[in-house]
Amino acid sequence: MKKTFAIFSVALACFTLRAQDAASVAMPFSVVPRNVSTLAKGGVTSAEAAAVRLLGDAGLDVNASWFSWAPQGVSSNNINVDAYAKLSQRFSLDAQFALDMSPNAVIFTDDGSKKGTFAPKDMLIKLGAAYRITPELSAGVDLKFMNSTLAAKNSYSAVGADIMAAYSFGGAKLAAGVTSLGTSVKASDGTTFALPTAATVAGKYNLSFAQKHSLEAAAQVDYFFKGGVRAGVGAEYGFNDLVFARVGYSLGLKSPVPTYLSVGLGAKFSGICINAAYLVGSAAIANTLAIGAGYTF
Amino acid sequence: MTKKFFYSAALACLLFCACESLEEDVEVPVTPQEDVVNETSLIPGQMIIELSDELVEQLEADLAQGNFVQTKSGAVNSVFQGIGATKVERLYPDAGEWEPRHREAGLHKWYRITYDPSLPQTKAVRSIDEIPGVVYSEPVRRVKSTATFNDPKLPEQWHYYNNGTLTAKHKAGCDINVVPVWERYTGGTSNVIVSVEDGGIDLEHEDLAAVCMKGGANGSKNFVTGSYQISAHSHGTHVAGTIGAINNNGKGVSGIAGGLDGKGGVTLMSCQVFQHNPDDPKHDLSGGFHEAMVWAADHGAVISQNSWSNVYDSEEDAKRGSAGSMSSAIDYFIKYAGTDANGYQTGPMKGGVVIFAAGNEAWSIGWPAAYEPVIAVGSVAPDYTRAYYSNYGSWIDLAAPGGSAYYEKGEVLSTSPDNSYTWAQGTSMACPHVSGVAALLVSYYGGAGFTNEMLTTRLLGGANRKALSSATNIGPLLDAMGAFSYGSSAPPEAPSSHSVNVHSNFLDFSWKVTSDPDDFKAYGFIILASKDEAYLRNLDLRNIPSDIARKSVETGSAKVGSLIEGTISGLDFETDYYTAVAAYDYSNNFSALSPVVRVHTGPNLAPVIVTETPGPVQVKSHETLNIEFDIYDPDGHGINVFFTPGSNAAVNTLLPSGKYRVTISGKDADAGTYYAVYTVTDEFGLSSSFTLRYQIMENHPPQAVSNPENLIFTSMAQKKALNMENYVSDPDGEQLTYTFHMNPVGLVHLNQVENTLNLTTLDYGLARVSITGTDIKGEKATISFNVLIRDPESDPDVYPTQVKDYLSISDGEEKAISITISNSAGTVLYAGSVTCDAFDPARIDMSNWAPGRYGVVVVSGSKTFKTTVVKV
Repeated sequence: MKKTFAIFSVALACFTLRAQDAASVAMPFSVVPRNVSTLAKGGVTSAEAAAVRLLGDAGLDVNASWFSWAPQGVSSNNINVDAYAKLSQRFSLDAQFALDMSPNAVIFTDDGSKKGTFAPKDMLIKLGAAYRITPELSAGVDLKFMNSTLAAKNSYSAVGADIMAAYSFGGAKLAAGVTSLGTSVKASDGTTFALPTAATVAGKYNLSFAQKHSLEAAAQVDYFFKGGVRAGVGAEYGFNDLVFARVGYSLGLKSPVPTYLSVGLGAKFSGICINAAYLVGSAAIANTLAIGAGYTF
Repeated sequence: MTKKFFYSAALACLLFCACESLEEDVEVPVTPQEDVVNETSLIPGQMIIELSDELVEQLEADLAQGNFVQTKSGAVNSVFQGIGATKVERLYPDAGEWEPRHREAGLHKWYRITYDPSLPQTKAVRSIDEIPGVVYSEPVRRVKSTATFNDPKLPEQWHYYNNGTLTAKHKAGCDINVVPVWERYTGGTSNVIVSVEDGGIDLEHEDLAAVCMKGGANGSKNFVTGSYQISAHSHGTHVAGTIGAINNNGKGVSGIAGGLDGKGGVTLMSCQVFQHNPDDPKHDLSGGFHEAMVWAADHGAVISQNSWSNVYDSEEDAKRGSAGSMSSAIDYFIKYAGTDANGYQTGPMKGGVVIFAAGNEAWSIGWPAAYEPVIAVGSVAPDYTRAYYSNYGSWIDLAAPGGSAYYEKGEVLSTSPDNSYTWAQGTSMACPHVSGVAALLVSYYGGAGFTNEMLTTRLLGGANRKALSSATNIGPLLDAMGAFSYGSSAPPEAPSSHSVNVHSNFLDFSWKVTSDPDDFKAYGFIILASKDEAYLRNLDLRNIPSDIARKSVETGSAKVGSLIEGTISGLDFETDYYTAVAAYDYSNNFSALSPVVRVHTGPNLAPVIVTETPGPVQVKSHETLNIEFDIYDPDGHGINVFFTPGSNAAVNTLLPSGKYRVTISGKDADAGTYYAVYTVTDEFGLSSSFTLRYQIMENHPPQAVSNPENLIFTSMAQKKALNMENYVSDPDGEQLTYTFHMNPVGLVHLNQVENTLNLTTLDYGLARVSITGTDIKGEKATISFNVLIRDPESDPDVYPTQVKDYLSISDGEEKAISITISNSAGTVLYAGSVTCDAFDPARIDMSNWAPGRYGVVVVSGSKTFKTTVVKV
């Protein structure tokens, strides 16, 4: 009994430490993966950055998605629209709009009495550009505007940037950079909170065999300046470039990004793709379902 | 003014009731009035007073609060205590819907005071007069008439016996003084026939039928129609009732000559000369006046009652008038009534008497009343004034009560057709009073040799010439007793002995009523006391010196040989006195003195103050202590009680039992030691005092002993009882006044029963209840607690949903719950299990959490609850 209690106490202490670090990060919704296939591959978002994509073949990529996000936690409906366009062999633009909406909830005051309802929401707008410096090297910048409307008179905003560089060799692509570098958010009591700024390193490798089969593996490590590390790995199997199966794992250590196991399916025909992802694992993130559609050529 | 009245009242008492024959002796009272007032005619211990508007307002406020003898006025209190007042009440009680009119008439200013009956009334009057705001006072006279006959309306027939209490405007003695006649002589006999020349008498009236002659050749007759059919008429029936309504039959009114035994008195002959005119109700049919009077003389009547007069266009016209042809009928009646055709007396009186109303025009002349051979009658109101309508002048022979409608119950009350009774005014109503007394005289004195001249002599000679002022100008006031005793020359027999009982300076006399040779019995007695025996023995009873103590005592209804008592007070202490008793009649004839008896008065003993709680006493600030005192004078003298409270905490009250009570209320004074002092002085200045030491203890404020636990209810109509004494109590042991407050209201019904606060749930929600205990000094202590009424099936409470620092989470009653909080990215930031309840919720410190959305999952038992909160 004493041993159980000791283990529980240590675990709780660790949890508290982690919670304190993760809780102090502003605009955490900005680290949520918005691309369904990326989510299914463990959320390796840096491996899908514009600078990396500029080293690939796609000329246009347009996606729309809907998430039933964290139904055991914040339980929001997230919608996302993003587009990527390679305007030339050296230059691309990308844009994204995301809106995360919590359901209507009753406002309870400090003494527990009811006082109307509220529906908080978060919004993310991102515009980016990438430039291919050499055939193997590219760099990109995404500027982000983030807003949380939490109550009638409580709206918070921040701006930030993701700066990435990518290098391609053989069938592999590597990327490194800094994400969510930007302004802080001031709470109602005057305390300021920083964005989830992190140094990120990612890589992926594509392999095709027997003409109809393809395999992609990706990995990413983020180090958050406020403390915490997050690592993600994912893989995608493609058949005849028609259907895809994906699996991934995200490990968050003192990180604002949760730990979860992801799986997903996709289909593509004539450039039009449909994707789905499902998360298991973490108590809050479990049962998250994401569905998306896109067009790529 | 009130003293003046009282002296006047006392004088009136002597003049009209007791000492008509004393004349000059009683008009020059020098000694204190209480020595000469005949208090046996007064009701001991009662006084009627009229108050000023200011005092009325003050007294009404005191009475409304139940302070009937302990008022806000120190002067009133002092006097009330001094006379031993036990009751103060309105003479005219609240009249409900008529009250505004009563107040407009000033009836609310009249009060009746009940006080120590052993106190001399003269002293009580003097004391009452000392109260600022008392504008009038009078003793309450005994009402003999109600004891005389059992006719229910007799007490309202002031015209027979007026003791001044029927209304404020009625003046005592303004009546015909007939009661002593009923007591001594007669109520009328049936052989005396009075003819009523008027409207027809209601021959079937319950109060008249037995004394009225039926219509017929030898009885009543209708001279309007020439028949024997008498038609009841209100005027004639009213007049008839005054003369002969049957006495002591338990019905309606009394008549002056209505007998004594309920069977009737004199006989009434209705000679109808007025009759109701159905074609012109305002003008009666009339006629046969001459014939009627002659008919009456020829058929046995010896008294002709005439309440009618001739009509003239103006007073000047009337002055030129005369009785005219009517004089022949009048002369005939006067000469031949009571005799047969040969002139021999056949009736109780030889010759007749014709009595006429003077008329109601307020003129100086009226006919036929002014015809010299008749007895003309004017009218007085109930206060010795001439009635506003009455004709006047020296030609009027007698004044009698005709009443006035300007006075409440100021008219004459008599019979009316159909067994009814009505009030009416006029010389028409005064006239039958004279006829009635004349009938009494004939009843008593009538017989062979009794003539109309003898009757007229008594009737006019016995009239009261002092009652009315000369300005009244309607003759002397009819006095039945005066008429009966007129001409009496034989004094009553002297008491053969008397006994005297001495206590202190009181002498209680007792002796036997003596007879009177020509008046049956003595009308009254004078009891006398003197320090000088020779002085007493040689006393001129018609001119008693002021240094002789005496008192008049009316015989009243006491029979010859029965014991009668009287008291002389106010004598010197421890002194030899010589006492005697003398009798007198209504004609002021005095007997000799009774044998002189020597007595020795006793000492004056100081007033006594006795209590079972002599003190010192302690009273807590919230306590009230009552201490009763017996305060009295062992000699029976009147006492003045003065009370010095020592502080506002002590109040003196005179109880209805006659005891005094000191009430000490701790709340009304600061803590400390005080002294309350009674000082009692008798009417001769001898004093006693008593000092009560009392201590008011220091007050300690209430204290909050403990706070009740917060209450959780799970459904409507749940009940909980809290003994508030367990939470707020008083160190002094005082019963606190508890009040309670709830915010918000409506969730719980709060009901206090003594010290228990009963709670009944009405609606779901959270309320804060506070209970405040207040002591008598206004010191307070308050405790508060929460009351939660919560459906156990409802979701856990997670609040506030816009978090600034702490997030509170609970689920009703105490239980373990599991909490998980995650951020918008899905990262779990808090997970744990805690035990909490609604009033001690789990508190999650989110002060260092970044603004944003957070998902909260609470698992409580089998319930899982999810919600979203924001950190701002």
